[in-house]
Amino acid sequence: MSGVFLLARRSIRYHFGRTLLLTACLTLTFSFPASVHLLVARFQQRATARADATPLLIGAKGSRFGLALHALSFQGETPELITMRELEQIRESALAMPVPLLARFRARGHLVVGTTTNYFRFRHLEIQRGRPLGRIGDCLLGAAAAAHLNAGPGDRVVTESENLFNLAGPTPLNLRVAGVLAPAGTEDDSVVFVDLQTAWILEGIGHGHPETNGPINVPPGTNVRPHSASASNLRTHSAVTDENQESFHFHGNEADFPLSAIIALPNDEKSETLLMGRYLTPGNPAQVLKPGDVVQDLMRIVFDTKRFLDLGALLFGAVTFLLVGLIVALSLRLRKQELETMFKLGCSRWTIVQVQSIELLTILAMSLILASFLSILTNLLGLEWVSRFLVA
Amino acid sequence: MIQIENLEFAYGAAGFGLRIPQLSIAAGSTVAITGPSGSGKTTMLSLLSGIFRPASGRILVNGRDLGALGESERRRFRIRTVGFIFQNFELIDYLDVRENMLLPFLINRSLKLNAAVRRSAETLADSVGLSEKLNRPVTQLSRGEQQRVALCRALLPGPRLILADEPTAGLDAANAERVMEQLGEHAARIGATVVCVTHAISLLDRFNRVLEISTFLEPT
Repeated sequence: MSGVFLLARRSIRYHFGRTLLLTACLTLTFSFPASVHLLVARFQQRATARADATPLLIGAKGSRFGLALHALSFQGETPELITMRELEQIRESALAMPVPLLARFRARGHLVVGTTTNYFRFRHLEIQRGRPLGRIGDCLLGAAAAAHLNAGPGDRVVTESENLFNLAGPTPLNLRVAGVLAPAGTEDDSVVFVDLQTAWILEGIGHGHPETNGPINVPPGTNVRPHSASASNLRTHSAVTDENQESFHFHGNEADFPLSAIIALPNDEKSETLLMGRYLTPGNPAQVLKPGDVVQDLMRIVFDTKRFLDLGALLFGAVTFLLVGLIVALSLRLRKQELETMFKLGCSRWTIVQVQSIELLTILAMSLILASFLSILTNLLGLEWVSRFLVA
Repeated sequence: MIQIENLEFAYGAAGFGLRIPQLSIAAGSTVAITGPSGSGKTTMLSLLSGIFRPASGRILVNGRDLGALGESERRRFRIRTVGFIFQNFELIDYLDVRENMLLPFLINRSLKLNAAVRRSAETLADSVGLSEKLNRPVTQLSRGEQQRVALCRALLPGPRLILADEPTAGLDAANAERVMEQLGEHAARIGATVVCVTHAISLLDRFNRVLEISTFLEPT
């Protein structure tokens, strides 16, 4: 039997090109459906876990998927904004603890999410380095965001302008990194967190500027710039410092300040039902949804898509196995002389079948090992790649 | 040793056929078979080795009638009794010199590959001047060296009958002389009968007996 293995081993090594082609074809055939299956399962597990942990979500009426994706995964377009009035109503009802979210701007590609400390408690986010948010203009970096921005406590991160051509709009803010969160393995890792006031400053509702009644002369290179084209003589601070933090203030009624979503944490099941009932009136501009239900609906769409991918993989597999059959048939034809020689030397047909089978099984085993490795790798890195792609 | 009586064989219903009324070859003798191409020399070797089965008549080798044996018995007969040397050497490209010599042991479970066999292979390789090249791929050898590897492969199991099909075709005169000399020496040492198909007139005096195929074989 060892002779048969030796022949198979030598043949596999000698016919390197054929071995490589067969192994590559089979590896792809096995790894593609396995990777898709694992990736979808992991996506489902991750999405479902995050959604199930979020009891209720309140946002402007519109796409349920859009609101859920925005509030749970910080992906997609920012939905229509609601106001702080919604949050106050929930708070006054004493049915749930509201956790506000305002996420519209980015800092070097990473979404800036304005929220309160309740969010960190709710998501079990812990500070790995640095300290919590101390004052307006501070930010906490998710672990992946910190790694990507190569920033840590004490560093600065500048937000991006909403619109480069809108000179009257809010200007970028130079955020101070207060701390870095421990990796959570969720979408929170890729986010820059600020408090709500800082998020409103980014919206242009609040600002800080030197106390002055007339035009001021600003030396070049200072942290002061014009607030808007219509008030070019009023220069606002582009960074919050110990010296200027007292000058920051907000205009307007706080109840009208914007939020993109509210996570509501009901006291109990009855409170949840009562709270949901409040949003059933037709005239209410806000909607409430159970993220778990929305994600289930979303997963149905994902699984429908996966069915097409599975069908594609099946066809691909069939074509590959036909190709493998063709290569094996051609290989046997090319090796006809060799097999005839073995037969003349007394080799049984069964032994010849054994040699060929061991060659094929070895290639199959190598392909399975490689496919497993590839699938595990995709499973480990796939979601990160997808997240990075979406952030980019 | 070999006794053929009223042998008849044909490739398919309307294919080439041959008939050998009577032929005897003594044990331990060396016999050259000559004749024009297509006259049935290679077919005769295939019949003597049991690869082909006669349609009628008898081929007795060491007293065994090959025509009466089934396929697996004829295969066992080939393993134990016959050593083959082919015109184109028919070495396995992906094996080295040593592994090619040991090929009959690698593919036949009834031949035990042990340390003694490995030593015999080295001794044999040494005797034909290949001891330094045992681990080389056969594709790196000259044609003369390749045929010597084929000779060693045929001799190593210690066959009682060596069938050689134009073993010097494609070799230069010096290599042809060397191969035939080594074949004769080793066959004599193990007492094997040699039946060799050849066109090389200059080598015929190395054989005990030279048979022109038309003298004993009739095409049908």
